[in-house]
Amino acid sequence: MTLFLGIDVGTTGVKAALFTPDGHLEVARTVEYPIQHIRPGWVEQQPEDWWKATCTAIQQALERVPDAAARVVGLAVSSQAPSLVALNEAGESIRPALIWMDRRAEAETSQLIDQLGWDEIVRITGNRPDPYYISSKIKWFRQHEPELHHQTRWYVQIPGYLNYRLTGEFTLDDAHAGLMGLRDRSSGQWSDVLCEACGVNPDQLPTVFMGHQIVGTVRTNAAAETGLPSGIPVMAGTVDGSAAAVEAGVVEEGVLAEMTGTSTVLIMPNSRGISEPAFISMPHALPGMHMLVGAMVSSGANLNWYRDQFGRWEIEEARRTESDVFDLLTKEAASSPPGSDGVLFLPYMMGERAPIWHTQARGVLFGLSLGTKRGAVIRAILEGTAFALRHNIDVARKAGVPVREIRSVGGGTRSVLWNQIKANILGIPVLLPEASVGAPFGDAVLVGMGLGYFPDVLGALREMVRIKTVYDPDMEHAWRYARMYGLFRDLYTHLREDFDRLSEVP
Amino acid sequence: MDELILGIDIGTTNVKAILATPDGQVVAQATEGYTLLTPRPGFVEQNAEDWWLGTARVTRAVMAQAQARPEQVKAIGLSGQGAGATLVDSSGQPVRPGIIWMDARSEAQCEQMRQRCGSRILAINGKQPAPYNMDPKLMWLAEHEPEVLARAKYSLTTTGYVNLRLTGEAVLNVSDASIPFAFDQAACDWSDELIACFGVRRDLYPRVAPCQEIIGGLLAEAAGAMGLATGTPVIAGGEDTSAAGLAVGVSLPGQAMLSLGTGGSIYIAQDRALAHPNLLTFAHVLEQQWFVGGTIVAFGASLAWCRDLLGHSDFTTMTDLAAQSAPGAEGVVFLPYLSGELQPINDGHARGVFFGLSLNAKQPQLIRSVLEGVALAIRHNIEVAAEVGARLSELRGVGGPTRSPLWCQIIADVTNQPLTVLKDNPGAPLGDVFLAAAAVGLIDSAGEAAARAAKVEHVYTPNPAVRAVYDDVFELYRRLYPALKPAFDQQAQSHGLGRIYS
Repeated sequence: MTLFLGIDVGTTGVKAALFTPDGHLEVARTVEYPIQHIRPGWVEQQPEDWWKATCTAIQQALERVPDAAARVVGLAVSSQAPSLVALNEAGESIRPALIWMDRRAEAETSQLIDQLGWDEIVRITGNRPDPYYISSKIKWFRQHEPELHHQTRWYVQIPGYLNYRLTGEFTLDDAHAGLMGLRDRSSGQWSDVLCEACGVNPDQLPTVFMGHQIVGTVRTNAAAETGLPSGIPVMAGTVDGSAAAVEAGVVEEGVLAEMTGTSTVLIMPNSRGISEPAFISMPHALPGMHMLVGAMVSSGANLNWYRDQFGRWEIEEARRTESDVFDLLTKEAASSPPGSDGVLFLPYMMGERAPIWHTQARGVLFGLSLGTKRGAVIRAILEGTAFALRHNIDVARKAGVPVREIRSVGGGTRSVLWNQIKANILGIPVLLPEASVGAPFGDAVLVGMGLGYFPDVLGALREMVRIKTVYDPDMEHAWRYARMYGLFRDLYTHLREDFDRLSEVP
Repeated sequence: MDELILGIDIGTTNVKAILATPDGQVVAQATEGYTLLTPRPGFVEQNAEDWWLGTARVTRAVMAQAQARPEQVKAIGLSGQGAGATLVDSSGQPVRPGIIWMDARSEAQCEQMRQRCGSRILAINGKQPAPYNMDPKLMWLAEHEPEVLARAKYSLTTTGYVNLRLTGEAVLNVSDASIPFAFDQAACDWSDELIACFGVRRDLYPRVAPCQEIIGGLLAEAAGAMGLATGTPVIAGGEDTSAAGLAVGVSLPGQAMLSLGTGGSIYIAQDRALAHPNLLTFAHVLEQQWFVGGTIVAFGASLAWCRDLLGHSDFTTMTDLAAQSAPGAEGVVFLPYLSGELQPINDGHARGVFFGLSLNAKQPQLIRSVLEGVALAIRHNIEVAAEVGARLSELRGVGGPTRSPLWCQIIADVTNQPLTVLKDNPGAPLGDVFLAAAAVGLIDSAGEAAARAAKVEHVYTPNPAVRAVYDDVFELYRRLYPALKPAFDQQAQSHGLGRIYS
C-alpha cells in the first residue's frame, strides 16, 4: 500500500514518520542534533545538522517498514519557526541559523519600532514587533555582520532549506512566510517598507507555495543520501504548530487546540485572518484557513516546580509504590474543593507572553491561610494555569475568533482532574484526540492533499482523527469559577506595577 | 535565705507564680491552668473564683518548693491579662463570670462609640474602639443585662479582682487602666467626657493607682489560703504585657519588647503616650513611660505552616536551607496574614501571599521569604509608630523564634535595629517582683534592677551591607497590602457567598 512521508524538524531533533493514506502510522524515527547557546539569548543551529539528521531519520524509517522505499509516493516537511537561514548563490549556508529562541535582535526591534511605529508594523504584518521575527533578525545581521549579509542570495526557512537539498529548488511555504515579519497581510506581497527597513531585497525571498503544493521532485544525489526513490514529489510544507493542529483535527472554525508540556501553545483557527497583537497571527497549514497562536511560557513547568519544591513526600511515595508522582499530586489536588479553599495562583513564573506580554511578571500564591493544605496549593496551580488559558481565549473571542470546543494534547492531558478543571473554567468541552506522533501527521496530510488523495480533506480528517475522551463542563462549577476568574484578572491588574518594581530590586 | 518577693501573673490560660530575691534571682516557680467558658460563639468568659483559687495554689506551691517561711515574703506583686470586665458587688462578690479580652460580643457597641466619639477617643486615649476592651463590654451589659449591671459596684481587671481578694481594696493599676478607652493618657486618669459619651456609670471605674503603690496588707483570710503572713504588703501591680516588658529589661524610652511565639508582638517604650489609629497604646509599669506597638497574628505560626506545606519535620533543617538564599529571598516576598492581621493593618480579611515566585524560587528562597515576611511585619509596626514620633534604639527579644540565629539576624537586618536576645526569662512575674521589691524599698529602682537582672544570650547587630536590599524589599512589601486589599475584600465576600450556595 502507498505511504506518505512526514518530517518534522523540531528544536531538539527531527522526526520522520510513514503513514498509510487512511492516516495509520507505520513508523516514526527521531534523530537529535545539537543546539548552541552562544550566550544568553543567542541560540543557533547548523543547517547541515538538520539535513544529516533528516537523512538518517528517513533511512531508519524506511528500513523498518517492508518495501517502504518503493511505496513512498511523496513527502512534506514541517519545522520550528521562524529561523534566519542565509544561503549563498550555491545554496550553501553562510552562517549558523538563528532559531526562534534567539532574542539577540532586541535593539533592532526597538529601532524598527522607532522607524515605522508599533501600530504600523502590527497593521502591515498582523503581528507585534519582536526579536522572534525574521525582520528583526535580518536587521541585526545587516548591522553586525555586514559582509556575510552582503554575500546572502537567499533567505529561506527550514522546510525551504531541506526542500532545496531534496529538489534543488528555492522555495518558501505560506505558513513560514507569514511568520517572517516582512509580509503585508492585506496584499499578501512582501512589504517594501519593511524589507527596506530591515535590509532585505524582495528578490532574496523565494517564491511562496501553499503547504500542499508540489515544489519539486527528489533529485538523484538526495535520493542516494536519504534512501528515497528519486523523482517523488516534495510538498512545500508548513510550520510545526500548524501541522500538529491537523493531527488534533483543529482545521475548522470553533475548534481550538492547546498543547501543554512545560509550556502551553494555544492554536485558534479562523477563516478571516484575524489579527490580535496579543497573539501570533499566521496562515494555517490548510488553504483558506488562518490561525492565532498564543504562547504561555510556564504551565506544566509550574507543576514540576511544585513537585520539586513541595513534593518530597510524593516523590518518595511514588518511588516506593512504583506509581506516577503526578498521579499522587493530582489525587491530593482532588481532595481540595473547586476554588482551592480560596487560594489563587498567577502562573507567570517566568514572565508571560500571551496575552499579557509582561516579562517582569512573576508567580503569586494568593489567599493563603493557616488552614491551607498542600492539596489546595496543587489545585490552585492547576486552576491558575487554566484561568490563564481562559484569559487567552477571552482575548481571542473579543477579536472575533469563534470558540466551540478545545482539543488538548501533550503531557498535561495525563491528569484527568486538570482536563476537567480546564473544561469547567473555560466553559467549553475539552476533547482528547488520539494523537500519537504530532506534526508529521499533518505533513502526511499535506502530501495526500498535494497528490489528490483527499478531494474533501475535512471529511477525510473527520474519519482519521479519533477522540478518546470528552470532558464536558460542569455548569455548577463553571459558575463558581466564573467569579474566581474575575478575581484572577483583578489580581494581576492590582500587582502589575509591583512586578515592575520587583524587577528593580537588586 | 532572707528576703523574698512573690510575683504572680494571672494570664488567659494559666496563673504563674515565682518566688525571687529582690534583685531577681528566681528560687521557685509554679504554674496552674484554668479553663475558658464559651457560652456562645464569640463569647469568652472566665470564673473570677478560678483566678483566685489558682493564685492561692501556685503560691502554696512556690512556698513549699523554696521551703520558705511566710515572714520571708516581704511583698506581693500581681499582673494579669488586661482589658476584660469583671463586675463585683459592694461586698466584693462577682455578679457574673468575668468577660475577658478575647470576647467579641460588643462589635455593635464599638460602632456606637466610633459614631458618637471616635475621634475624641483617639485624641484622649490614643486607640480605636474594638471589642476586646472593657468599656464596650460594659455598654453591652447595660443593654443586655441591665439588672446585673445595676448590682455591680466596680468593674475590675483580673489583677484588680485578685488584689481585691487579697487586700479588700478595689483599685486598678495605671497599666491596666491605660487600656480601657475611657482612660485619659495625658491626665493619667479616667476621662469623664468619654465615660459620659459611652453612657456608662462613672462609678464603675475604680480608683487608678500607680503600679508600685502599696494598696494594702494581705487580709487574714487570703493569707490563710495562700500560706503567707497577714499584712504582707500588696502592690497595685501591672498589666501582663507591660510587666513582661520590664522582665526583659525594657526600662528606658526607645527600648522595645519583642515577644515572639505563635504570634509576635512589638511594643516600643516611649516617654509619652503616642496615638496612632492603627496601633495600640498603653502605660508601662514604670512611671511616665508608655508603650506603642502591635501584634502580628501568625509569627511562629507562619513558619510552622510553611513546614507542613513543604513537608519538613524540623525547623533547624528549614533555617539551614533558608541560609542558602541571598537576603531578599531572590525576589520572593511573603505577606504573613495567614489568619488575618492585627496591627498595623487591622484587617480580618487579609490572607497570606507569596509574591514574586519564579521557577528558580526553590525551598531556600521560599523558607527565607517566610522568615523575612514576619520580620517585615515587625518593621511595618515600627515604621507606623515612627510616623507619630516613636523612636527606637534597641529590640529586646524573647520566645521560641529567638532560638534561631538566622531568624534573629534577619530581624535585626530587616528592621535595621540591634536585637538583644535574652535567655531563661520567666516573663511577667519577674516584672512583678521588681515592682514589689522597689515598693517596699528593697531595691532603689525597678527599672534599673530589671535591666541588670536580664540575662543576655546574644546581641545581633544589623549588617549594613544588606540594608539597601531590605529597604527596597520593605518598600515593595508596604505597597503589596494596599494593592491587594480590594482582592482580599472581594475574596472574603465571594467566599462567604460560595458557602451559602454550596
